[in-house]
Amino acid sequence: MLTAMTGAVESGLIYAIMALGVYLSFRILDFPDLTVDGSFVTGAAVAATLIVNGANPFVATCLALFVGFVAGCMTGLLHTAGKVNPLLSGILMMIALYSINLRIMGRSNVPLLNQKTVFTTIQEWGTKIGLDSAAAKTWGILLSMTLLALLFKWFTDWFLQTEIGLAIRATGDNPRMIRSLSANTNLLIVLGLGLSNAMVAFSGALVAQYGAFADVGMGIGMIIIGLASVIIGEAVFGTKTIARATLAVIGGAIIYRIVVSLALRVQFLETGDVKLITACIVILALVVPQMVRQQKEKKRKEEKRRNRAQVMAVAATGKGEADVAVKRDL
Amino acid sequence: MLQLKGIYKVFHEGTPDEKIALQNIHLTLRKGDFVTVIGSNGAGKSTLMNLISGVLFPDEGTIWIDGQDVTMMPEYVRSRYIGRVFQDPMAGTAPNMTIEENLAMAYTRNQKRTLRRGVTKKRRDDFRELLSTLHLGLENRLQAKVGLLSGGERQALSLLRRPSPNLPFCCSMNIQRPSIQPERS
Repeated sequence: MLTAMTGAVESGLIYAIMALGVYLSFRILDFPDLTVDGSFVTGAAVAATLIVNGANPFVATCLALFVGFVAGCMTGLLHTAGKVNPLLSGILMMIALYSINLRIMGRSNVPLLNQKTVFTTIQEWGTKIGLDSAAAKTWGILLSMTLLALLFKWFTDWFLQTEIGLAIRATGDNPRMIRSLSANTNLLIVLGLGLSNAMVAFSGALVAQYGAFADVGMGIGMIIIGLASVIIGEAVFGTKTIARATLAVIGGAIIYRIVVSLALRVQFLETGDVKLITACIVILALVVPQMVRQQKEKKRKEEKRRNRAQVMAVAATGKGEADVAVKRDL
Repeated sequence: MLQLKGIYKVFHEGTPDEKIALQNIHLTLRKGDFVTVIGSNGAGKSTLMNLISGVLFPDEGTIWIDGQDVTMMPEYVRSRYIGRVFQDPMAGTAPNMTIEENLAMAYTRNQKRTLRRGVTKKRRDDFRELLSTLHLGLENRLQAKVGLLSGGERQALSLLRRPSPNLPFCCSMNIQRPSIQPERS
């Protein structure tokens, strides 16, 4: 049980970087970017292929980040220069990337067993400072991924407070206004989507190394997983400031992983049901808060009406208007 | 100086809905001119403003600002020369961003935006001073999201982000609806 939990937290932290990317496109730019399903695999494919061919795993992972940036920019160009609807440009790019990913990998699955990856390197470092192999793996990965996720969070927070970052946020919030303040919204959308998909591809590269394989189908539904993380995080931790919201996204990603791993412990559910579970989680996270709010609002109104009726009743007993006012203030 | 020379603008050309919005418009405005354009619905007031600000482009004719032909200059480039206030009070501000962030975006409108922090300590002091001229108490709510303000407060905020004095030309979007009317009884 404990290993399952640490595993969930570990992968939650890795997927959190992807979720931050989704947060950037979906929430900040207000652009439902389905490229994510493709660029996640692109990151995995680039890293895995390079590693199999003997490249340094850290270099390979960073290259994946760069390729993801390019993929995101392409979606942005499709939308801004080509004037294609946001959803459609994302879907087009996702489909195009499927073939590109196959080309990069050369086949549909690249195993990374017995290869030198980022995680085996971290484990090595751990054993060097005197930890035993298992502890080095668990704590090494947990610590390094926490630091990495926080690094990306810090970068996002910083970036969105810069002058360019403010303009990107305004592009998602009120494009007409920011255009009237001399900002090229097209360029900002391309940049924002590039950064978003860079994070997604980076996360994909890490997931491939964590799971020791890259598969052409590993990105299916990734956008929904990202959305689930964003929505759960926002519901649980709130969105008062940017820093709070990005922290919420990371928290959401971890919670999502924990929920899925708990759900899979139920006898009846199989591994293939993960996507269905994900869909259900997202639906619940979208619908339940709304219903709760409506219910609360209704209760509040009823309460008010009852209080008012009481005050009126008091008024009828003839205590005078001053008394009524005082009671109303309560 | 703003000049419009022989401007034509036709909507839905060649269809039964064809509508000639502007026909052979010549207009010259000098520095300090104050002009009010009045017309009934569909007279082309908004089209005129949209052509000047670069939201729309004319079918014929040219637009000049200080001797520079800006007819085909995109909106975001041209807005360096033009201050605009939208008629819709919601259109001039970004609701999910704070008051200080909204002001910061206007602050950098004539410079290249960089990776420097948008809201610095010095700018925050400037904003506070600027906001206090409105007497709306907004100077104490710098970190409040603009979406929480009323329509009038939001319009006041966008008026505050007036173009700096070195802007050659300033046009105000036609305010048909009484967006700001403090003395309304």
